[in-house]
Amino acid sequence: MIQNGGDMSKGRAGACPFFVVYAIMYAKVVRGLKMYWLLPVFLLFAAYMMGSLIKKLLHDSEQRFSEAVLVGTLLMFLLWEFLVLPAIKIVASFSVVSRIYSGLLLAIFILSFVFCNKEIRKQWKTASFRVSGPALAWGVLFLIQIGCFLMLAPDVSGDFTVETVNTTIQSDLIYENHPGMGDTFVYGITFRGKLVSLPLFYAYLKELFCVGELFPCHASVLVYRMIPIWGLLLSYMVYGLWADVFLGKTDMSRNKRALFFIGLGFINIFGVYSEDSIFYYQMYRGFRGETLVFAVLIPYTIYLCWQIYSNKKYASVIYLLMAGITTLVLTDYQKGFMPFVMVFFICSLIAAGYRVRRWLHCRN
Amino acid sequence: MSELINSMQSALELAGGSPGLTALFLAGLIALWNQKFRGDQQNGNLFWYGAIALFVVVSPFFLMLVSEFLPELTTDHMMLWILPVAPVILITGVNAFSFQRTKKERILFLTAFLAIMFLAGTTAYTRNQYKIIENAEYIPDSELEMILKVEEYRQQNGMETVLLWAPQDIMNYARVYSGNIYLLYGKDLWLGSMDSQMHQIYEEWQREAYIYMENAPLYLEKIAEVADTRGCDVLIFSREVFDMYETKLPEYLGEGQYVNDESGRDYILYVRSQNVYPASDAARVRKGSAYE
Repeated sequence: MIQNGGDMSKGRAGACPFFVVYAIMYAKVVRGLKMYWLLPVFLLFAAYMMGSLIKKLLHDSEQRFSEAVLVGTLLMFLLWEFLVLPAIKIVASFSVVSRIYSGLLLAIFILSFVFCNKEIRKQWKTASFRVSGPALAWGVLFLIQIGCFLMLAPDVSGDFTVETVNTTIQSDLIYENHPGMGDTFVYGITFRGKLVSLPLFYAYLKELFCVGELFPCHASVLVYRMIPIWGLLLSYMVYGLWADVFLGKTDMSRNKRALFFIGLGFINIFGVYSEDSIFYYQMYRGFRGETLVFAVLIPYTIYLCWQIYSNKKYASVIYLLMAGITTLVLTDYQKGFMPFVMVFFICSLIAAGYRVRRWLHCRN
Repeated sequence: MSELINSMQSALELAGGSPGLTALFLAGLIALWNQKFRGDQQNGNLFWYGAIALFVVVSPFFLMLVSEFLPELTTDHMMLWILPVAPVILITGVNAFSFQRTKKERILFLTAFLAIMFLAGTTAYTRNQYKIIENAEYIPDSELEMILKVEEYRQQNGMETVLLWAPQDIMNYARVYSGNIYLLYGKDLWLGSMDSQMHQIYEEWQREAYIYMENAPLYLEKIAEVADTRGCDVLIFSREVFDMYETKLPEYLGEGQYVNDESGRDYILYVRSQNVYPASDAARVRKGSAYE
């Protein structure tokens, strides 16, 4: 008995430190966790699930994480716009739109789990997570860029994004109140301006990740910190697709791809000296729609055109259409849709040139 | 004709974002052209895209079309951003790196490449590119101090919203912090229209109000009158401006509608005097008179 008691007490004594450690960890993790740090992870995960489902529906057998994420991101924006536009017309409240969108996302997640389970598991089974020296160097540069978002003041000249987020959440209305004053607009925003629903998407994310007293955070933290990180990750994914095309996808070219990403990191950091460059926007205005268009969508459009014209992958036509419409969601059509059209036109011209040359060659 | 050439020149200079990066981009295009003739089709495609896009963006016809029909695209020369500057420079760089045989050559090449990239930008550290943020809200400390006091006042008095009138430095950030702080006018009043699709035309009294607040020591009585008429709950004044005019702020403003409440390091706060207007009446007053 004494022995048992002794054993039991030893067991209890043994459990106590473990329990204390567990309690401390729980307190630190749950109470100290800043939910908004999970935002880029959530967006990538959500996009990946949505992208996988779309690729399955279009019988696109090419399984690549970055492509699924990019396609899923386009779908996220399109779904959001699909809900916001009628809501603006009928003056619906913002919270109703948010709830419907959350429901849609959840439905798509479930469908993706059910129908794409096999493909996702296969993809992650065959994925290689080996880290080489150059890849480590790229990781360090990436962290330096994130450090810039965390520590350096963004360029907010001529910007109303955070004010729009706060106004939307406070008033629960969509584009009815002036973001700079708070009260109702006297003259309002044009329909062309209301097409751009990116700030409203940020407001939705703020509602999702900054839950009252439990996980407080300011809109400026989400918009100036997390969104640029997410945009940077998407940009790297697009250029990863470019690297696959130009440098190859083999194990031998792994170091070359890592060097390419290192160069991209340096060019982002050193290119900020000029305020007239996309690199400056990427580092100091990463939350703006134009940055997402020129750093992500335009390079992705070029890649899709290559897929369509060179690889004859016609599912990419759908992705191209999605990219074109998404430019309208992110920024004004002059700064988003028109560059998309110009890029598509140039790529089509090159493809036409190759065809004419081949035809002339065959004729001769 | 000379204007045309000037616009083409400046477009070419800024094609890569800066003259140095443009030079690297052009060098990269030439290298890709060389690789095209060695049978590398992918690099050939990139060369053609880069070359045609460059030709398009520096052509006077394109510049004229953009400035005429797509003026928003000229903001920060965005029409030049369709050029694949980063991929051209980096793919050429990586391919050149792979030609280096020994470790010493590779290290030398990398060092030289990084040095060129560093120098390709300008060395002018201008404006706020390297300004460290003072807090997680991305608002300067002295302004945040006062905005927090305004929020505290709002919460203590159980108000859903509070109407603030303050110098532009505070008004710039008030709604960045909280959507519950309403302002008498937005920052587009003094910065100009920031969005061509947002039509907010300010009235004469708002423009006058801005002038009064920015020259507060000369217009204290006017400020008290306008604030009372428009239903402002909180007024903030800058210490620096009053020190410059060697004017001391009274404890009460106007006919006692506003009382000196709390002060920060750089600003002084006035709130509605509870004797004249209880906080619960503030919303009623504001609804009846604001923005008329």
